[in-house]
Amino acid sequence: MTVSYNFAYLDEQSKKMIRRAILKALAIPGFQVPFGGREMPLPYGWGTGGIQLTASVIGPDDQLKVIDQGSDDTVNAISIKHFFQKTAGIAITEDTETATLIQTRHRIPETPLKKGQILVFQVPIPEPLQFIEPKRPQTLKMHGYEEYGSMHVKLYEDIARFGRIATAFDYPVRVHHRYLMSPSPIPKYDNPKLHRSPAVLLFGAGREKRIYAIPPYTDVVSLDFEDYPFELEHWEGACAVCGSTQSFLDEIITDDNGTRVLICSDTEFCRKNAGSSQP
Amino acid sequence: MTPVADLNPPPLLKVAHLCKFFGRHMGCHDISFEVCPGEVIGVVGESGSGKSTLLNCIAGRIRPSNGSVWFRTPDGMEDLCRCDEARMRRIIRTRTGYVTQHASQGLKMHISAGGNIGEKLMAAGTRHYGKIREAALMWLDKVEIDPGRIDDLPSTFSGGMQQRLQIAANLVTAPEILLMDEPTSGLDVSVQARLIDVLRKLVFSLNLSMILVTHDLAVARLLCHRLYVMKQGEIVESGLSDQILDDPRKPYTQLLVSSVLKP
Amino acid sequence: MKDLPMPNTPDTPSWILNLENIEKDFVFHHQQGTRMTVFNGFSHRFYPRKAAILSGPSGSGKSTLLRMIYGTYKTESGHIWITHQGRQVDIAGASPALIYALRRDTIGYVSQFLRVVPRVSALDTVIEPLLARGVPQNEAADAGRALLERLHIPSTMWHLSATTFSGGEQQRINLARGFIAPYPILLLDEPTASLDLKNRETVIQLITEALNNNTCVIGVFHDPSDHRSFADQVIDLSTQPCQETLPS
Repeated sequence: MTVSYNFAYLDEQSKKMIRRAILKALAIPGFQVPFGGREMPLPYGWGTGGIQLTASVIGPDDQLKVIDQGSDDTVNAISIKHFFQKTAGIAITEDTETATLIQTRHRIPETPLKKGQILVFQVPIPEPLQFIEPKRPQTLKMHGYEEYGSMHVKLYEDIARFGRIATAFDYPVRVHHRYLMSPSPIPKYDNPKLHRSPAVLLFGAGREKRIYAIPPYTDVVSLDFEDYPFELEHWEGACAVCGSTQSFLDEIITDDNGTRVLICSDTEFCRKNAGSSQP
Repeated sequence: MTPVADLNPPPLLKVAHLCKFFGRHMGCHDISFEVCPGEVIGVVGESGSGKSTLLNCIAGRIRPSNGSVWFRTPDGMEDLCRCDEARMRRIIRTRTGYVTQHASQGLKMHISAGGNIGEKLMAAGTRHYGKIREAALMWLDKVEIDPGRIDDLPSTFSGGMQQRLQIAANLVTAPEILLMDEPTSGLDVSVQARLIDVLRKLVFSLNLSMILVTHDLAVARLLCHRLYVMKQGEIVESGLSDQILDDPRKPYTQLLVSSVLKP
Repeated sequence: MKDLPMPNTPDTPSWILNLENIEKDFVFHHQQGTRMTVFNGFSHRFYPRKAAILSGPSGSGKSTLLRMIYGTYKTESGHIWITHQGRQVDIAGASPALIYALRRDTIGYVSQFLRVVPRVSALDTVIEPLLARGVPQNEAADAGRALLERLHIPSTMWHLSATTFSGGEQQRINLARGFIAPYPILLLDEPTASLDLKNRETVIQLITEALNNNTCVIGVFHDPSDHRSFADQVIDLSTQPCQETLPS
């Protein structure tokens, strides 16, 4: 550990400010709380929001897991892990079950989360209404007065164009039957995992400088139509590595002839699953 | 056009002593009038006379500096300038429509024609795709747009079609009053004639009220039962359309009427 | 709105229209404020089943009087009492809603020229007054077709906009629109001016039928031979003060 930095890089005053924003966000589930985002030593779009949240809530006893698209070993995940090893001397784990704090980009782990765990999402565009109304003062009012009907326009456009709701990720949800929320670009496959999750779910948008949260055991409902209900995607086949049919699968092209295989997006889950299914 | 109205209908909308100042500049001053169900009111005057400011105040888009905009709701007459903003937005959203001069401001150009018509329905709580689709098709037909174009973007439509689409998108939730800011300017005359024809039919069949802001007196005569002539933020003369256009009294109205080219 | 109870004295003949001391000035603000006085205390009563013809030289106020009765021209002072659905109302100073009702149910007006609305068919133009009274579309259309036929408009033209019609054809559409619905008071401003003999006869027939149907007809006719057969009274407006004054 380098002594020239405060624990977990951020100074204590900044952490306090961010923690206050987190508390407010937890108190108003799904509401976007503005916060004084700090400059972090990585570019916007690489998780500056998530990393500030993690830095504010992490303690010396935490076990940190970082995933990117479900993977524990991509560049983004590894550099964030290195960052916290360097600045906080923190224990790193890949095990979802033993991790106390998980920072993620674009996925929720397949292994069910537990009470006491914190999941930190990296969010590029926090405003779900941006597609309908680009003006921030207007979206504020729409949130304030619960004018969310037009959000269905996006889903309508999907059905009109593709015959079904084609939105596959960043699928809008209502939190605690009140605020409309963007679940960050997780696949809609993960949306049901938000519903009444025992874990604390925190969302940080670094560029937009906003924090929002879902406290444990909160109702989270995906938008849909009566005649086009919310549906999960299905795959024709199982994971080529572990054989799972109960997880989110990525399609991978393995050679120049376009041969495709399906593989679990959650690498840790896949490894465990493969280990347990093979004698 | 032949107006439909009872002898003493209660007003749908009542504007009382409405004022709007932009700093020291007066947008409109001490404007009072009533609109009855099924009545089409024209506000005429040259650019900068405060017509659009007045319309925007009624539409809740600008907060008036003073005065009231009473709107008849099932709960009685409500002053949009006094009730809380959530209530005001609800009344505006469900009971009025607003057609802008430029369709690009009133429509979402990156959303299909059907989506534009459906938006107000969805905002009002409709959650059934099939029903939204059905309503969109019906309204396209009513405003004389080929229902086959339901999934096309408004940007692929002509100016006249965009204006008619805007009208359909506003009327789908059956508002009682349509506010229109120069809907026909910028369209060539044959396209304009079609728009006017569509509007006339809709007003007649839906017993719709309208406030039409225009500087085109020919359009005003064809569509409006009554006219208000505005100059420098104030109403200088008002009356039935034929009274204003055939027997103008005030110097400004006489100037306005005599300045029109007659083909 | 100024309402008066219907007078019930038996010796008062039941007029339908009563002009009481009406005055009318036109002030032209952009022509040095020239004031033109057309009526200065004119009074007259009109009765159902009677045809009153307005005569006088051009500019004596014939059309002006018709337009004042119709409410298009505002009346400076005096009253224009009209018996409307059993009540007497004053159109000078009436509320807009009352004027709409008067024009829908009580006063018909055939102007000199048809105000053509683009894209609206001749038949729809004709039947609009019936639809405004709530007559069903098909019933109104039947009546419209019958009337257009009487006025010798070929059926091929019924569904065309009157925009391209000749002056005589437009005038016949205008007449059909005026006669389609019965009115207690019918104002006619040179209705026969651009018609041939055959159609003039039809119009005279229509006027006679309206009179027999209790209508009070007030008309301006270019050619006295047109109204000879039915006129009950000729009112000469040339004795009226019609003067221009410049402000001193």
